[in-house]
Amino acid sequence: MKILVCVKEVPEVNAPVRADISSGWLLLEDSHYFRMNRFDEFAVEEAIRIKESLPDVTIAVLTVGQARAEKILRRAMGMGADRAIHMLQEPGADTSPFTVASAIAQHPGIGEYDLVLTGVMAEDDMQGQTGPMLAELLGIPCATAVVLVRVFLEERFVSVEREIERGMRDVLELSLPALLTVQSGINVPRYPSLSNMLRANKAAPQVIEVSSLAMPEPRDVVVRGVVPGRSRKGLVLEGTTEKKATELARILVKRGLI
Amino acid sequence: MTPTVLLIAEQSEEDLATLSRELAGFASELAEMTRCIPLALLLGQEASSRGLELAQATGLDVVAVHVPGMSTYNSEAYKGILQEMVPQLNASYVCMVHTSQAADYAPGLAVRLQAACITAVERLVKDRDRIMFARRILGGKWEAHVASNTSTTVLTVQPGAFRPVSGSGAGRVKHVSLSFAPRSVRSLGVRQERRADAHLDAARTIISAGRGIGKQDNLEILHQLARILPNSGIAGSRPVCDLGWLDYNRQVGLTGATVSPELYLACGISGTVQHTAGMRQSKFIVAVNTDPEAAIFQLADVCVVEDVRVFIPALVEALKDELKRRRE
Ligand SMILES: Cc1cc2nc3c(=O)[nH]c(=O)nc-3n(C[C@H](O)[C@H](O)[C@H](O)COP(=O)(O)OP(=O)(O)OC[C@H]3O[C@@H](n4cnc5c(N)ncnc54)[C@H](O)[C@@H]3O)c2cc1C
Ligand SMILES: Nc1ncnc2c1ncn2[C@@H]1O[C@H](COP(=O)(O)O)[C@@H](O)[C@H]1O
Repeated sequence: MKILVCVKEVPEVNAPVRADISSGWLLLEDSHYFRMNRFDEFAVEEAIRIKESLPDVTIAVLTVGQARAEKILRRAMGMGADRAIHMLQEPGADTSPFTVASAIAQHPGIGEYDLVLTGVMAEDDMQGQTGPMLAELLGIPCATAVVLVRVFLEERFVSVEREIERGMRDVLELSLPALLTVQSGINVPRYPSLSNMLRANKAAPQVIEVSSLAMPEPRDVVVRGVVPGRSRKGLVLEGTTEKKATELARILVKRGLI
Repeated sequence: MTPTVLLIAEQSEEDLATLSRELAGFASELAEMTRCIPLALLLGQEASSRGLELAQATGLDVVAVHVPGMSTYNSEAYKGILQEMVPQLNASYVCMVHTSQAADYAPGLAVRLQAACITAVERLVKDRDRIMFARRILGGKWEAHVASNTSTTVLTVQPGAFRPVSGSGAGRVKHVSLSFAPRSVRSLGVRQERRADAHLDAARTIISAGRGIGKQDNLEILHQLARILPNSGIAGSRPVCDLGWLDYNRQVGLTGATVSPELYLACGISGTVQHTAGMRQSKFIVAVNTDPEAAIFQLADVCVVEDVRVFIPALVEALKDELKRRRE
């Protein structure tokens, strides 16, 4: 059985973002700002668990991104993926879900996978579209926000549960090949192991230049980015930690909360 | 036929009325900007009766697509049927509420329609003649204004973002019947996995932990605070529950509990829409975060830029002082 896991490099969104408001875009050149999308760690881990439970499973990880993104492929191999594919993009290339899905769909071996996994969403663009779009381009069934996977290889189907609203789950079976977007909490992603990292450092990823592919025109464009307005007063407490604590304590007393 | 803004309602939506009124609010605003006609569509085995409900709730004309045997959502059926219906109804925009269901089929439907797909839209922005859809990115810190380059655009709309239409007479319902037999996606129904904690509903104060608390042991400082604040409870963001630091029934957000206490104290929570969906109705919101740009500050009444591990113990001391003073 062959599994493909798509992983994305994202900026550390919880660090203060340096933004150039006039050009309307972000300044994120320091590479330490980049890491694997957290939701993708759950997808990689799920693939490894399937590999551990079934015979003859191989896992490929793929990213569409700049040269810098090789780091996350090594991390995925460090976790236990067997090989890596880097679909190389120039800095500034379009990274919208449709473009990325169209690139992945043209990866030469794409038809060979029984199961394709992606994260439920990327922390930076928060679209959650790349997986379902890729499934459509490949003409295979898809389920999103998956929190349980059981593979029935002989019978050629996968049994899954999707997380939906109000604590409910949608139970379904998909024929293989299929694509699943993996929701957090499905497992606890492992850390890369030293021996796997050493192996990963020796194996070079397969590189495919995205510019060599016949890419479609982007269907949507981000015209600009703005800092959103506040929906509440947002009183910012100032001074030392103690001073802020005292001020907040008084506010809570005044509101009758203590 | 005049181009339409086609709104797709959910067949099994419990709060069909609330959500579809919001969606109709959005669709009407967009239709006015683009000189389209808003129109609603609903599928499923109960489409006929639910279609009437929808026409009453939204005041819009409704196409009720009766699909025999389709009792729950099925992505293959939705994509297959809508791929046929959308061009027939001359839709320039196809919109739905951003639910788990819409998130599941909207991108695939867009590919089939050769349409752009823009998800979790919160605002419509018009700049000269260009219409842009505002949505959050980077954990909610930024708002991106996205424009479509295609003649049909699929949109999902963030719940709670648009003002619901108020009833102004029922629209007409057109009944259609279609059959569809999915081949590669077999729906086996839905089941209840867990319920949100009833205790959270009763709490006056909710002290909520995010990944920023660093490790499970640090929850103890939040418990110390909870012991001073009467009638308070501990909750958390999804990652904190995923990590097993807190039980799942304490998760607040889109896929957890929806709460509206007197005080919500967000400790080390970034404030993505998926989290704030569950707490933004709180009466008073205090956020503690080391990142002065954290999205949670956008909806806080009081912003504290501090390390929770240092600030919460200081707050506990300050509250003890206040209590002492009161007793004297
Ligand atoms: C379909 C779907 C459903 C989801 N449902 C939910 C849901 O129901 N509930 C939910 O919460 N999430 C949900 N999520 C996940 C959501 O998108 C975010 O990933 C999550 O809310 C982030 O949690 P967090 O704020 O605790 O962690 P992070 O985003 O990692 O934020 C941590 C914050 O802590 C701050 N910080 C770090 N150290 C400190 C410190 N020492 N002191 C103070 N602050 C510090 C950082 O600046 C940062 O702002 C869902 C996602 C998807 C795709
Ligand atoms: N550039 C990329 N390279 C590889 N996988 C990606 C890329 N962008 C998105 N994905 C995958 O698609 C998922 C959803 O991303 P998005 O649609 O951008 O929210 C991510 O969790 C990844 O698994």
